[in-house]
Amino acid sequence: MTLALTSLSKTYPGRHGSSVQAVRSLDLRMDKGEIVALLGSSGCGKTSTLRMIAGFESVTDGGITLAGRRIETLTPDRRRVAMAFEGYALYPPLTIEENIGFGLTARGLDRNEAAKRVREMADMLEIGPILKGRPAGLSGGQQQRASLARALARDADLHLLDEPMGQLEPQLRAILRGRVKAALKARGLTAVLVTHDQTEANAMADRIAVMEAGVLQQYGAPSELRDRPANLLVATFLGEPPMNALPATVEPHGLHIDDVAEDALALPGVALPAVGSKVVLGIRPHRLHLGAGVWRGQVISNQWLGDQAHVVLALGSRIVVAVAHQRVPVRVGETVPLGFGAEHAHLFDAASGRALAHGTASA
Amino acid sequence: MARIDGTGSPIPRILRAIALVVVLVFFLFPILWIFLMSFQTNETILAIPPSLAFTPTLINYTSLISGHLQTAAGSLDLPFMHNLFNSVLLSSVSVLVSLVLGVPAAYAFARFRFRLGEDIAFTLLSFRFAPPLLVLLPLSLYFKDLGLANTYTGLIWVYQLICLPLILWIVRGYFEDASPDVEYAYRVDGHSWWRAFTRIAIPLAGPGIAAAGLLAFIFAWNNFVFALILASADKQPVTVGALAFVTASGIQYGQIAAAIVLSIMPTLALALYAQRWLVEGLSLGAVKG
Repeated sequence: MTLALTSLSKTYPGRHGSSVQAVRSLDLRMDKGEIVALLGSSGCGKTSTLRMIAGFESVTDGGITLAGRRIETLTPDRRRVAMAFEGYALYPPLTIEENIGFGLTARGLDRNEAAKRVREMADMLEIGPILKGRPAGLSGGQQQRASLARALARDADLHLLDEPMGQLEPQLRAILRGRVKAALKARGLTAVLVTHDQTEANAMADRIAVMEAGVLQQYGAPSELRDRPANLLVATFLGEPPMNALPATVEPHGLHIDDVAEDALALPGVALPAVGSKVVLGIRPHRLHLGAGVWRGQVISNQWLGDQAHVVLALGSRIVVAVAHQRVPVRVGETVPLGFGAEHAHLFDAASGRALAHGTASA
Repeated sequence: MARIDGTGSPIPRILRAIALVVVLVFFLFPILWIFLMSFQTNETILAIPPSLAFTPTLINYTSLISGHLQTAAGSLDLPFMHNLFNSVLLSSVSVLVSLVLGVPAAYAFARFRFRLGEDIAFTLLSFRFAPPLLVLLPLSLYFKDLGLANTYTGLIWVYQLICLPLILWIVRGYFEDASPDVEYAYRVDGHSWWRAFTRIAIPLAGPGIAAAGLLAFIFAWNNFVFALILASADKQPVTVGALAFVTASGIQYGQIAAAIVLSIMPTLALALYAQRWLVEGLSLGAVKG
């Protein structure tokens, strides 16, 4: 175990004596060589967590252990972390080359070794041609890669990457995700990646921590989060388009979808809670099939996105989205049958959002 | 501006040039007139009607520099050069002290939120808009008790009322405009906060510090009332020393004009020298990102 956050909390004093709890009692453990993504919408507490680990924000409560040392009271220069900043934070008077090499020579790495490391990073992130330029003359994407190169060039106990690719072109982003992950793995480095982009988290992280309103919602491998979401929030946050969520009531013969005039659904293999329970049925859009099934839905829109079709349907007074990987020959206004396999169902408690059961495909 | 308009009709350009000349004459004519007066004797200055044709004389400058004022009633000792030295000493030491105190304070106000922080900053600012006469009476009494009356130390201390709020508030704005992340990046590279402050924060706010220092110097140089009350002749700056030209036998216009020319020279030279940083300082916010 390299990094351990124990009951970590951050409270910001607000105006008029009020306060804002940015991070609430966060527990997180990660092993050496692991890449962990903190994923969440803006204001979820992921950046506050990162800045507490780096030492830019004081810890209101709890502890941080890094490589066997308690670091939460140490100043940033003593924590042995490296960081890539969302706002780049390059030194304006230095060239890109000097920016990347700065932390290396300052840490006593010999000059040739440092130059070699700078060259490696520049090749990996494709900033070789701009090494002699200064930050002010470069685009956001170039500055961001320079900032990432500066962080990755360092040897540190922990690398903190705050939205490291947000300014890059989609193509370049896709290429660099793989390269950066491979470089981190090859050197056995441990990294915390803060992002709001779930594709980036899925592509780079060994484990993902989903945060919302300062609370850790679920922490696990990407496949675990996708197949067995711990609650409705994680279930609807991950996946594009988001999971369909239909409020329902448990009846003696199965599940009755609220406001939908259809017979109760039998869900073989799914352990239903007690009769009368209020639940939410979750089905991912690509698991919803058109053309056969127990439901009748009226088509609201049918869009072909080039590689997949998004069909929006009205199911009683509910709206659901279905995704298919070929064109769907249905017209707006048409009523079509639709259904899903019980093995792809997810059940959540209506009041708390906590997951109750998952279909057998998630096992 | 002329370059942009150059493609269109010349009439607006000509009108604009005329307007500029009018404004420049309005503001610069008094200075030009004083410059001309400084090369005339009292007789030619007071001649009616006034004439631009006169024989220039350096008598005013020589009497100021030698320290002997020739009047109709005889010779009068005039410590003008000593006043000028006092002005330079008081203004520059005051600004230096203010920079040493004000720049770290501005950094603290910009970077950290602490109890009563805003109240302290505002109190310091209020020194700028409180009338000096309000504090002069108690100050002069305290200064007599503390032995600070008629000392350079005492005057430099009081001059902090002028310089410190100015430097604090201007420099604070520059620190607030600069992202703290650059300092943080320097910190995680293994440097103490003091090195981050001196190596990163201060150079980034450099143009702002230069601009604030220059403004504070001009305000300190122009101060009159503190030195008038709290110091006697040998410690007084030129602003107060100029009163000596109002003598029993009349007002020495020629010497006053020469004194004014000499006393605006240091600030003018400083402003011209610092112009480069001033422009850079004022446009810093525009080139961010």
